[in-house]
Amino acid sequence: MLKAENVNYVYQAGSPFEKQALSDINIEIPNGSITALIGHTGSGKSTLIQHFNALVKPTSGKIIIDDIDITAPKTDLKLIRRKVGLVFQYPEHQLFEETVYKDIAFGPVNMGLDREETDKRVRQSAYLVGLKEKYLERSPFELSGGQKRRAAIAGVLAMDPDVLILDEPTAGLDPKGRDGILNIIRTLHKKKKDMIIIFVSHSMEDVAKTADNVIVMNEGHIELQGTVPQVFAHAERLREIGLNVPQITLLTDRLRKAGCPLPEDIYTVENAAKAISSLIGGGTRV
Amino acid sequence: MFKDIMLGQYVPVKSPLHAINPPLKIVFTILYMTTLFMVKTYCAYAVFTVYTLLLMFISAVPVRIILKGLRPMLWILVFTAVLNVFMTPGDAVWSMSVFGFTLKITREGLSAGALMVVRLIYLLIGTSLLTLTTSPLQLTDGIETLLRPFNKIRVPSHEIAMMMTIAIRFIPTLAEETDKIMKAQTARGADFETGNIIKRAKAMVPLLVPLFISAFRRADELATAMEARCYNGGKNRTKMKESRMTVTDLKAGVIFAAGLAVILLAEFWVYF
Amino acid sequence: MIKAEKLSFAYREEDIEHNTVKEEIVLKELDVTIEKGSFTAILGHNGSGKSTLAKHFNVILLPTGGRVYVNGMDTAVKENIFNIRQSAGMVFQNPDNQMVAAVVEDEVAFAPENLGIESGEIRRRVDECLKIVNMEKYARSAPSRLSGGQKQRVAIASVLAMKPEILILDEPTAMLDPKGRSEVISTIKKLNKDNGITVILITHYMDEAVSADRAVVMDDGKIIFDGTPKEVFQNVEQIKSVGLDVPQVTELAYELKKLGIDIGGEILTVDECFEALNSLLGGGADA
Repeated sequence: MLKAENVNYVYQAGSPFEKQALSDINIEIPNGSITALIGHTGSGKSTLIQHFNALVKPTSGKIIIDDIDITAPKTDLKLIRRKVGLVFQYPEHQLFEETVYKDIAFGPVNMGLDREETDKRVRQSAYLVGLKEKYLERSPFELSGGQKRRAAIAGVLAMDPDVLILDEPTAGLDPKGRDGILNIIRTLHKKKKDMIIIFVSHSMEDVAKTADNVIVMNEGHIELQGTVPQVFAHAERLREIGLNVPQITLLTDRLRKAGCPLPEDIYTVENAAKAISSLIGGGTRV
Repeated sequence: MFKDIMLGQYVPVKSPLHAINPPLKIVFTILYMTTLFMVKTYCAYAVFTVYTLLLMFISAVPVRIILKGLRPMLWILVFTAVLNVFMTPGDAVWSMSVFGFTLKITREGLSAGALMVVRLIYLLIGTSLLTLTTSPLQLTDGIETLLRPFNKIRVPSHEIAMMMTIAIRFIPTLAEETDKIMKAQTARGADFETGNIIKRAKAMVPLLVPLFISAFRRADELATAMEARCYNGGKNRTKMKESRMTVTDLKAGVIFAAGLAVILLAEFWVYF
Repeated sequence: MIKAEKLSFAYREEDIEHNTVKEEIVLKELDVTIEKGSFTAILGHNGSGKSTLAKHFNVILLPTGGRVYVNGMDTAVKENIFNIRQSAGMVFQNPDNQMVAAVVEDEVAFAPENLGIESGEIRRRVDECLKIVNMEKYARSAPSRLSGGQKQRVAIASVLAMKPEILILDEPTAMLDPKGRSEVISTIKKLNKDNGITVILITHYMDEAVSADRAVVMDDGKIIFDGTPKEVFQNVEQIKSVGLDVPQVTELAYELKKLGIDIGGEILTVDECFEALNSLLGGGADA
């Protein structure tokens, strides 16, 4: 369980740039769930996720992970960083080692794990992100863009975190690369039953395809939170705060308003096709 | 957070000092410093003080900000003062014997120390007034203009100025990037803060390698983007903002020169 | 107008140790003509050759086979380089890495300064171009203070200041958030409609291609589809198989067809899909 209680964060307090970056954030994320964090640039998403592994400390409020208050003054930061893995935006820009293997091993080695355990973790995480063994001995700079990103994600997975946070993991990728990364997220969800996965995204389509829960941020506060259908029901509001609502949501919204008895929980093309065909099929209008 | 670092110390307010043509201002600053090192008498110092105070007033930069610029140099000032006070031979006003050494404060020492400190302070104020009233870009342009006559002896004035501009442009970008990479490696358990020097130097590798790779990538892309916009070195290049000498600049120049003349007169009047 | 004739391009890497030459073919005898005043989107996944193609239009790359003509000028002729670059301006993907100057207006002045234009005229162009992209308020800002979308608009202005006929944009929105993307796309549309500038937009976002007059889909160094977005996006399966998306409503129409419900082809927008479905479902009511 990851909890944020009344978290506030004031950026550069006392300077001319002072800004309330987060206000009154209250979140509860259960184990074994995928949560999407959405909001436009500057809405506070990045600041919030940096609170989750104590890279940034709140001005007031608490962050609690598995009953450990990580915001308490004397918490062991190393322990927190082990529990909470954070994959930054464009993580491939942080690769630095001679080989992919060594780069993935950077985290485990910092944790002080022995060779055998490190080796096990490197291979396991490379497998989880779909990186073939033959790439492990190559230089990370020889890999393609998508592979580099996988290697970087593997580097965080190798620390075996209980909470995995990915900041815009699909940024800059083409549709194929994007689907690959979203697949990794779903695979991880299946294989690591207890893991909390949080990913930041601008794409509501990706959110609809991947997440269980959604948190919508706007100007430093939480605008909406709930399950995917609950949040997508507020299409109008989402649009107002500058988010791109998927075409399917807009379409079904309009059809319902025009009197079509479509169910509420349609947010993928497949669901929409099924629902519409059953409506038409029922009406013998084929 | 690095985005908010102020570049140089430029204070963007309006003042006659801000308005002066930058190359001229750089020349003024050099003359100001030269004069400062010619001044030795109390009388001339007094005039110089008035002159400096006037410049500070005209600059419209808050005194607090000007004085803030002195703070990092405080130790050097103290050191200079102590060195002068104790090391200048002359009439002792106070002395003490420690482990066989005689510590002596002399009248000449006090006077030399005071003048040296005042000189250093003025030196700092003079250069700060230049950077406080001239944006880094204007400075770059000014340096380019001043170096242009040296093109004949193969001083690449355009290239030097272009390099400075690009550096100014990329400092905030790279500072932000450094911050990001540091955080990312910290999240992977890197430790930049503890350990001995060797350990810390080694800890910099995960930061420096990505930073250099990124800088090279940026440089490469920037070069392409510059070429795509017909960049061809300084050849046949024009400027949107040509620094031309205006009548106001000439007037300012005359007033400034007159001020320096008065100081020198105060210094050397005994000879006349 | 741009014309590529049997354009081929390959990266060559000489391996001195083994005395071999590794050749990676990126473009394969490609023919394409871009008409004056048109808005063409070139789509393809990463590595399909779309950016390589664009780089030929701006003489950043030279063909290893075939020819490219920009306004009748052969890109392989050295004397043409600056004229071509002036008439076919290029905007790149990363907004941070294409800015030279530390102040927005100096950035826009950069290209005309390179062209040796007289300073009064540069001033006029800078003001005009910043106005076109709606950034005149930021003329004296530092680029590092701008959002991604704003930076890209400045990048567009700094190319427009050369008064080009053609504007080539190489994935200008790939690194932007939705707000930045729509800012940039609406600026591009405006330039094409109001200022008559020929636009070539390289992208992997299908929703951006929908705004174009023409969509060219590339895969493996070749053009596999070329037509209006309506025509091209009908090929749902093939487009998805080369790693691209089609608009959700287009896909919905396609899925429904597979289920035996034909709501008519050529659906790209929510409006079109709503009309088709509403009449079919006999809702009769209009929203």
